[in-house]
Amino acid sequence: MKRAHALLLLLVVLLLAIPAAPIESRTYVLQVLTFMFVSVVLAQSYDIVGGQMGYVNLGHITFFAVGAYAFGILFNLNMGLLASLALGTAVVVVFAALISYPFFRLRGAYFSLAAFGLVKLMEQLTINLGWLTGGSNGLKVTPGNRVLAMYYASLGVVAAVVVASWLIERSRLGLALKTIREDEEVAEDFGVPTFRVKAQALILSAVFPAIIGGLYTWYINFIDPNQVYGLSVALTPVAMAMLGGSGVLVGPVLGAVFLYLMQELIYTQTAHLHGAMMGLVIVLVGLFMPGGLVRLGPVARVLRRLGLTVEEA
Amino acid sequence: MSVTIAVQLVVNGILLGGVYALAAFGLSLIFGVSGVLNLAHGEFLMGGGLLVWLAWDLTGLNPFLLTAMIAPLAFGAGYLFEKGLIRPLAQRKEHVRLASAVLVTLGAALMMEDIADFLSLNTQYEKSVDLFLPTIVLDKVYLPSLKLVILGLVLALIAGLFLFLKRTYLGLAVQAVTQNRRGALLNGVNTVRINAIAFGIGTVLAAVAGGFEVVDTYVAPNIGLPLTLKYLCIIVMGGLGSFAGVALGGIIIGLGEAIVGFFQPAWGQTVAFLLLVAILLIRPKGLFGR
Amino acid sequence: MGNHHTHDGNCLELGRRKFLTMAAAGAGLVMLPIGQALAARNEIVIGGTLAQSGPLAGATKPFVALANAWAKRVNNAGGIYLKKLGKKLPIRFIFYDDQTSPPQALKLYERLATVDKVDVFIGPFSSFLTNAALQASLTHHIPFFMVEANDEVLFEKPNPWRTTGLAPAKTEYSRTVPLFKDRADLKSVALLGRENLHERQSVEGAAQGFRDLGMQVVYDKLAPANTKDFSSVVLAMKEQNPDVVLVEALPPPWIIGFLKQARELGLNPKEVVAGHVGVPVIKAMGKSGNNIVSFTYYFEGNTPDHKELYAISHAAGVEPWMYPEIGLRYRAFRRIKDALEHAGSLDKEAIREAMWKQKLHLYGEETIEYDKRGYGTDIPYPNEILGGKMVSLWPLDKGRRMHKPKNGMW
Repeated sequence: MKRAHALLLLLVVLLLAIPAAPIESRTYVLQVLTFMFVSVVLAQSYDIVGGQMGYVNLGHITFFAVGAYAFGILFNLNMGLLASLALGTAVVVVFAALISYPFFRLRGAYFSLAAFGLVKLMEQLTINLGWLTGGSNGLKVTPGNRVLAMYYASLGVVAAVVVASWLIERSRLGLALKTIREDEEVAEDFGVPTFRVKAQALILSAVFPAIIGGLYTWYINFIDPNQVYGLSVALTPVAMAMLGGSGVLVGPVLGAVFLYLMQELIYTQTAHLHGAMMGLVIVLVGLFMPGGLVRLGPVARVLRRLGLTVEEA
Repeated sequence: MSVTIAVQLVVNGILLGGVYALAAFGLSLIFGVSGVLNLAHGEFLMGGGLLVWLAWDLTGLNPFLLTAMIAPLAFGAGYLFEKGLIRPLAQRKEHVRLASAVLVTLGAALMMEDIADFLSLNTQYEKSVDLFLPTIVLDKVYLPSLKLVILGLVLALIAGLFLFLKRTYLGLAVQAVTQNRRGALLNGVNTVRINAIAFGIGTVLAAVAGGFEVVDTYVAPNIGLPLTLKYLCIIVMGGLGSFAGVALGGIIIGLGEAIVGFFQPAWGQTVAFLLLVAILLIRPKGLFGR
Repeated sequence: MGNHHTHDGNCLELGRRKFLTMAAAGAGLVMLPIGQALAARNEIVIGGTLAQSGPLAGATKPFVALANAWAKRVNNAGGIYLKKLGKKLPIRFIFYDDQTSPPQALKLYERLATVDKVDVFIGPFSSFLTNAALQASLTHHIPFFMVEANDEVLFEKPNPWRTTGLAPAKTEYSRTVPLFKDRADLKSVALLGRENLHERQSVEGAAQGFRDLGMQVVYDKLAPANTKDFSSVVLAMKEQNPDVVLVEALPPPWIIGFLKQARELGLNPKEVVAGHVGVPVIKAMGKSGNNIVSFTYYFEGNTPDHKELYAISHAAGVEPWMYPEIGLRYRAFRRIKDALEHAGSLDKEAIREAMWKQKLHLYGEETIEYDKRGYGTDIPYPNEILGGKMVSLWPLDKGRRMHKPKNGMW
């Protein structure tokens, strides 16, 4: 395990030190990384329910969106950064708890699409409650120079969600999630309190997008429904998790980093057809890397040696 | 609210629902046979609409005729799509196959949208066919002839689909595979070919719906994914694998959008999802789900 | 799909090294353009983003080609003359695709500032993208020429580095509505706008304009941005029997949807006004589009400015009336050139000052300048659809003579 720890330490030091790097495009690099961290948090937190538990939650983005709006509204009431974040996250947790019971009566594709329906509903609600959210004109918060703070804060949330996923995986909750994923009926027969477990997983998966959503609003200082509920924003975390390898600890992280950097590369180096190239990359991974990047021969071997076991698909 | 407006709304709703149902049937057929939720389905609709528009812009021929002419192309496209992208996934375990299918069809959808975007580079983005048939006025209720023609064609196609499924060997084979894949295989059905054929037919339905869409309203490269998700909601609402469910689902959503859109325009487009969630909470397997 | 090979340590070392190298290469490629930007500065670099994908992609199709065509013309004459350097410098545009996404716009303007090291910014399409883009101008003190942006949001916080060419949204119809002056046959007007800040304000302005002409506003509503079915609106308008119907929306599908359904359901006013009409609407309506009044950011004429506008449009493969904002983009190019010339150097503070003080004469009759807040003077000129094209209706006396009322002829 020493090799794994050394590598991890190196990565952490690198990430912490980048703001001090003496390159002129430092702020640009920080911004690129910051938005990448947001993607990582969304993909990784999605996978708690999507990968560990096997319920493809196409509605995961609502936690991000509600967190973003809740923060914005509270921050505009002069509640300060930390209080707004905390309270905003609490709102999302309550929201997750409320929807878990009705939605977890559904299984498979029914659950996934009903969850997606929730995104559209919340989007419309946000637009219609204009007095609260600013409607289709969006919500703004007072701006400020927050590049550095946002970088470290989002890096912190990334660390938190990865550690949390790791802890869940090794806990009794994680075991319960796995049994539900493999065969829910059998799990019930064996006395696993499935409803409670599913609700717990959903709530846990909701905390991190809520926090990063609030930070996102704080950083970009203007959000509108399309930005936080949009189709691509909703589907990207799922695609990232699947691409990287759903159900494996570092799968979503890998998928998010890979896809995000690919996007940065493609979009700034070529004049046209970026979307087509991105699509092609995703198709190729789907065709030739079943189980995602993380189960690809060389990658899997590396991860195994690093002590991050890869389950057999 | 007067009776005329009420009638008008019902007419509008059924017209809307009819076109939804047509494309949703295609998706349902594909899912029933191959178990794949084709996220690129809406792109085939968009592609069909774009082709019809292009042909119309160049030749000026009747767009319905042109739609019929591109149907074989659509079949071929769907067939090849299945052969090239979906068949390789068949041997994978279920969880893996699901994730792979999502990636493959989503990636394909992104590619198709962007290529259409690129091809529209020096022309207009939104494309609409200019075809106007005089409106029939029945006692102050306005029946747009164009929409009636479209509805008629949709009904004819759906009737044709049902006849195909119930009366031809191929159709029965399709039903057999939908109900029990292994059983069908054991009975000598070439399930591999049936998969491809189902994709072909489903894609034809999508492309034809696209041809109707470009005449009725408009088509643009970015309409694909949102429509795919709407159709997914319809087939899930109706119950996966049930054709009657699709028809009912389409009508319900069409009526819902028309009626709610009249009273509360703000909620018109969201009705589909509201109904989906509501129905699933009452019947977790959809209206006619097995 | 199992892998039954076993490997010794060597192979693994290779695997890990490969992995790390790939990661490093990936990061490196992102920062590659730093090298490019360190090249000698003997050109003027203008940077911006345009929505080449996402919901607004349709509105900006020819804009990159347009900019490059204009740059080519300027460079063919040697470039822009900068007095303090005593010579002309060629110009170059850099455009990235912001995917109609504010975070992308934010990042990319930052990149333009720090990696590409642009001299000035040209704005993206739409206020909400511009809002994200403006941050880079404040951080790096780079003059920002906003284009299709005039929401109040942008002006809430004073920012000395940006101006917009557009006049406030309320004035959008102020050159178009007077087309109907002294029309005794027009007594009532029905207005429909898309539910959005811009459209709300422009419809307000238009309504007041009609009132000033002595007409009565019999219907004045906004419908949600995602409306597909306008039958309820059309039916409600029909009840009022308006002489003029005005529909204001930025995205073409909205206008196409409304007009097609108005036609189907028998709404036949004497005059139809539709804002922001371009090729998609024209082709969609065919013959029914004739005599629909709209507006665009130029008018027909033959001053040298006109000739340049036509030349760069043709070089980009379009006519200036095909996209409502082509005229607006051209004005932005001219604003940039004028500011650079008056600054006489690439000093950003000098350019900024020159920008605010601009009094640029265009088309032989108008002056581009800004008010205290940074709003400009761009107000679109009326035109109408005729025979599959748009025909200018300016000056107004000529326009009033040329224009024939629609009179319900779909």
